[in-house]
Amino acid sequence: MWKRWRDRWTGQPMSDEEFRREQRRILDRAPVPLLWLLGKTGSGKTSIVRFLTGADQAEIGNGFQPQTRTSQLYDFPDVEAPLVRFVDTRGLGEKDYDPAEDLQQFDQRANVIVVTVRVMDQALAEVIEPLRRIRHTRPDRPVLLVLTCLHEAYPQQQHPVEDPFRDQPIPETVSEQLRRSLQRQHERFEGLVDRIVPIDLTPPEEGFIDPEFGGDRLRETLLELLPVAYRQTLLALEDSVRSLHQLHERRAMPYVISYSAMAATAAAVPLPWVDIPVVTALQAHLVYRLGKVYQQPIGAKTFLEMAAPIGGRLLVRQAVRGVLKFVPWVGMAANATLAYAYTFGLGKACCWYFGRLRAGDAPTADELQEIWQSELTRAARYWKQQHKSGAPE
Amino acid sequence: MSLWRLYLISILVLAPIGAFVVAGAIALWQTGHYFLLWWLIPICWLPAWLLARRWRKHFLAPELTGDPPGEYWTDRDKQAWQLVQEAQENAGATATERFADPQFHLQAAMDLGLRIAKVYRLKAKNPYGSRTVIEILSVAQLALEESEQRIADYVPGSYFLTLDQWRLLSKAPRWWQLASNVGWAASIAFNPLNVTRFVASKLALGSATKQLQDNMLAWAYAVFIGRVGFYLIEMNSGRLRSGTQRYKRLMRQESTSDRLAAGGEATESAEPCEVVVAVVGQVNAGKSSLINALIGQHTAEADVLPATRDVRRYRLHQADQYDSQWTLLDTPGYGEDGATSQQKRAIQAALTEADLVLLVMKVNTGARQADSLVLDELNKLQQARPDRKPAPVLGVLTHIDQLSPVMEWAPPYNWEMPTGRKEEQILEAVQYHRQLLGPSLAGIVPVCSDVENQREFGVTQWLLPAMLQLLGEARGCAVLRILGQEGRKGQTRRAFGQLAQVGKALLQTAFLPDQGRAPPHNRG
Repeated sequence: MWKRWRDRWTGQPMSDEEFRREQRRILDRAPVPLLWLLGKTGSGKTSIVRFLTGADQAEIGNGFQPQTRTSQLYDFPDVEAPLVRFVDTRGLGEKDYDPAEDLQQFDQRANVIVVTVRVMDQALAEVIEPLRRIRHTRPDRPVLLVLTCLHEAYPQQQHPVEDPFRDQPIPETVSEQLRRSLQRQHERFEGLVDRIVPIDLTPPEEGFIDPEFGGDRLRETLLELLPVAYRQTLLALEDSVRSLHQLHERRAMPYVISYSAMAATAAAVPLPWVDIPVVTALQAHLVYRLGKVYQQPIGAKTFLEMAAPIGGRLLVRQAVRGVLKFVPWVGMAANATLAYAYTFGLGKACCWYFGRLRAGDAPTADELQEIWQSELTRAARYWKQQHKSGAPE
Repeated sequence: MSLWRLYLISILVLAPIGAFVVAGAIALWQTGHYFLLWWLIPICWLPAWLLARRWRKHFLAPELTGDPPGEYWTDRDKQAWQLVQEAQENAGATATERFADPQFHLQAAMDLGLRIAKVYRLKAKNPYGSRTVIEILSVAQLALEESEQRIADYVPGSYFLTLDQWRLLSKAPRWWQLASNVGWAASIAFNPLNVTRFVASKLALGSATKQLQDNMLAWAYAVFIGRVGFYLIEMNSGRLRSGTQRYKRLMRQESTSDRLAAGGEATESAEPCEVVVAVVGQVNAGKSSLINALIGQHTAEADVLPATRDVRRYRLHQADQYDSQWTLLDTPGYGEDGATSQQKRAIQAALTEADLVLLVMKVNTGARQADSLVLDELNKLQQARPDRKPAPVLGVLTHIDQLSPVMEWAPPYNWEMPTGRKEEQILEAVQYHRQLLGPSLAGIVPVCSDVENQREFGVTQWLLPAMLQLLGEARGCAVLRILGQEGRKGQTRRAFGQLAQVGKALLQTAFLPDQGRAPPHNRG
């Protein structure tokens, strides 16, 4: 214990093992929402994971052959720096699969339950029965019903151009078949779910012009349902990833956000300077991680190049932050803000730097510093914007 | 044609041949060429003897031993049939003399009956206990009729055989030997050279005729055992309960349908025997749509919401060469939340009645647990009644239009030789389901039966041929079902009839003592 204190006061770098232990502690406190996807096999659970994260690792099946053969915890973007966690359970109703064990295991941990049902599917005993039990154990936990595969109600036709579900839960403009089936699903899940969102995420290869029909509504509804603490990460993810088209940046951004959030969590400790080694270690890890995403080996040379304009100042600034902590509550809030903003700015600047390196030119130190400055201001604004509703949780 | 006319014609036909034989022998004797031809006898008969010895082992060809088991036979029936075949094989090892003893035949039949009854009533102490007298008589009658028919078919002139002659046949070796020995003694006395001929003849002809007789008798015995065994199995399985007449009519029809299936023509008009097809599946799998597509009318109520709440019957008459009569049972779907026990019972009843089951599955849902459970239940139902043959199950994958690429629908699709993505997906789905449920299904057929939107494909192309292929098996099930049902009904009726007779007799003795002494001509 004393050693830890001493190390922190003297600003000694952490060992890898120490860092991992610290990281686990942070993650326990960090607001990483756990979404539990529950539904029959082929009802589109994995498609939703893919849509929400943009990750292409999640494999989507052909409908008749169960694709998710084991229930899995899916951390996005990865286990060490998760932003969102999904439990993708094996499809209910699959031959020779008894979901009892999985249900019990995930029931304890999930923050939000997303039930997926094909809109025209009426054989739902296998979904309703476990859902009833789950709902009974924790009635306050939000449950979202996602009605998928709308196209099955209008075979060989495109989705409506105007999203009719924006205004009415059961719109009058859709076909009678769809309307009646929707009605039936609403009746069936009455009292079992909090919100119902009809979507269709059938990929464009199948011939659909809009492969994310109703996707916006799904995101919005999820955000509304998520407890406030969890909302931020999803919002940040959505905002930052959506506008990006470059593949590497798309992949990198979840890490930047995740490490920034962890830094903020680590820094929200009402003791001065304690967090300096942790935040520094997190930032160093982020740089390494980004180097991997951009396939740029981080050697001593690269690190020195980056440390000159960014790293030196970081250490100075963090010393200042440490002083702020003596004023307990203000210090904590400001502290978390700064840790978030610094990490975020560093991440963005790294992305830019690595991007340029990949493109073949080495940016000068001044350029890098300029970028970092502007990203830092943006990050601070970003943080404030997200927390304008009140003090951070 | 009466007997004496037959004799007369035979004599008229054979007389000139006999005359030629005698005249020829005399002519040969006079010209002195007799000895040249004399050697023909040993030259021909010696190989005959050798061949007879060699081929003796192949006696009792299976086609002579009675009908092969009918297509409708259950596994238990086939098990019992093995006992019959064993008994038939033993016929070759039985001493010839015993075949002539009617008591021996009866005893053999009784033994076989006991052994077969044990197969059907494993636990019962007295296997015969539950058999009615009428049933046992039925067996005897049928077996006799058939044996008679068979012997008449295969043994020329057997119409004239009396029991005494039959006995004589078994004793034939003795008197024949005596007669021929006397003949040979005279012959050798007349010409000592005949000793050689005597030896050859003794060797060849003696044992050959003996063998022929033995075989003949053993064959007749095997036929009898085969027929008795066949009807014992029919009796034990309960199919004879509705009486021999009805049984014969249905069986005739069964064989007619076999002939029809083989492409022949109907020789006699068969009594209509409908094949019951139960259409089962999860809710909204498309059972009603499929029925509509099959009968070509919009009759069954097909809806996007569960619409079928109880079992409904639809008739399907295929006016083709098979002339098939089908009754389609539209059942409520399973897997819906809050399904009532009444719905479950309805499905169970349909499965019990079915001669053919169509398991309808929506192709693009992978949840097969419920279907798998229904297959298990069907299996359990069938094991609970070994007197019925398990109905074949045909898997039908519906909604193939919703396979990838979803937007495309341009039949015809030749999924067995896929060229496009849709066809590949259909083939993959069929293969996947075959792997998943394969052993319980007789086949898997993909269809699109969206009659409402004029998007129908696969019903006439693939489903009907697959159903017709299973028609023989399904008809077998139907025959057993009908016999079982009628047997139960008929037995009660007959029991009441007999009770009424007893009552009448009692009344007569009690209240009409005068008539009681009269001969009982009024009892039927």
